[in-house]
Amino acid sequence: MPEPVSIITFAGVAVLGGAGCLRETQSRSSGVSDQAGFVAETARSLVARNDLTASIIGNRAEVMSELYELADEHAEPGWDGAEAPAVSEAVLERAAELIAALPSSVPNPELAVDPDDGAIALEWSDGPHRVFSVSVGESQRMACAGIDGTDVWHNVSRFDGATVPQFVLQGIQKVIG
Amino acid sequence: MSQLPSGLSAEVDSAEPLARYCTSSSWVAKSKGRVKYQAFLPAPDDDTSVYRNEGMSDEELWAHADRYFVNSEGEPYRLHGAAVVRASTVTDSGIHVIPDEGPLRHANLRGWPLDDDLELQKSKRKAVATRIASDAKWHAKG
Repeated sequence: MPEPVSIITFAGVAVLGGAGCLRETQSRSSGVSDQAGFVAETARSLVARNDLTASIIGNRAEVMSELYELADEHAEPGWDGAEAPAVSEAVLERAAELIAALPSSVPNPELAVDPDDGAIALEWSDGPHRVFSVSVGESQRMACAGIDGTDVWHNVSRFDGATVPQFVLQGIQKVIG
Repeated sequence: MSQLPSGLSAEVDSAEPLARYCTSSSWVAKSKGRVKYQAFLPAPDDDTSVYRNEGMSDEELWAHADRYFVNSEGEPYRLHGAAVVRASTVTDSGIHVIPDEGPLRHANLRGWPLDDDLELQKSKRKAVATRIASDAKWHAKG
């Protein structure tokens, strides 16, 4: 069964995450005062980095749930009938970071798993000939590609865990206008 | 012209359909039936495995998968459907279709871009696979 997405309220700020997020929170919170400090710091950091307001959480909750379901479906290597690696926890966490960092004006992406390296792809489209995707793997560097009619382009973009790269935002804008 | 064990020609005609069996529910856009590029992105061995399905009904396509698209224990993989594309779409994108009949009707899509920078290589392959997928049709397994 996929693990449910959790919405937790920390010091009046809602924080979205899956079971991995919960585990990290629990393991890093050894005492009451430590916990309070960590919670406040986490909340401030998330708000500052990702503009994680309650309304955005509402917009992203569905895609976050899909993300964890997808990881569950692709948790074993060879899921493609060949040699596809499983989706790793690191990939899952980085994909969640990128989704959380999307500006509120950006629609939810569709998700898919790449068979070559187990990366999670975030994809936006307006029909089969207008598509842009970014593959989130374990490193900061993300392979991007798009098609707009007969125009096809690609690049590598770096995601620092907080700010969505301009190339990605421009690619999204290009296909969904 | 030489024939393969399946009776198909060793040379793939540009008009032939090629079916990629899809084991991931995420390889098709749920609401629109649009095939995503992952259906054609090569596996870590640099090949994309397809089946030449000229003259096959969907029922025959699934029966073929049950017989030939199987794991090491001989059990068929769970399929969500197949992405079907013309061979000409593949070759026009710079990729070769190489018949490889261990399993009957099987072929590999080969000749994907290479680069020392693996992320750049991947972005190039994504671009090619995106182009191929844009002309593919989704056949859902009922």
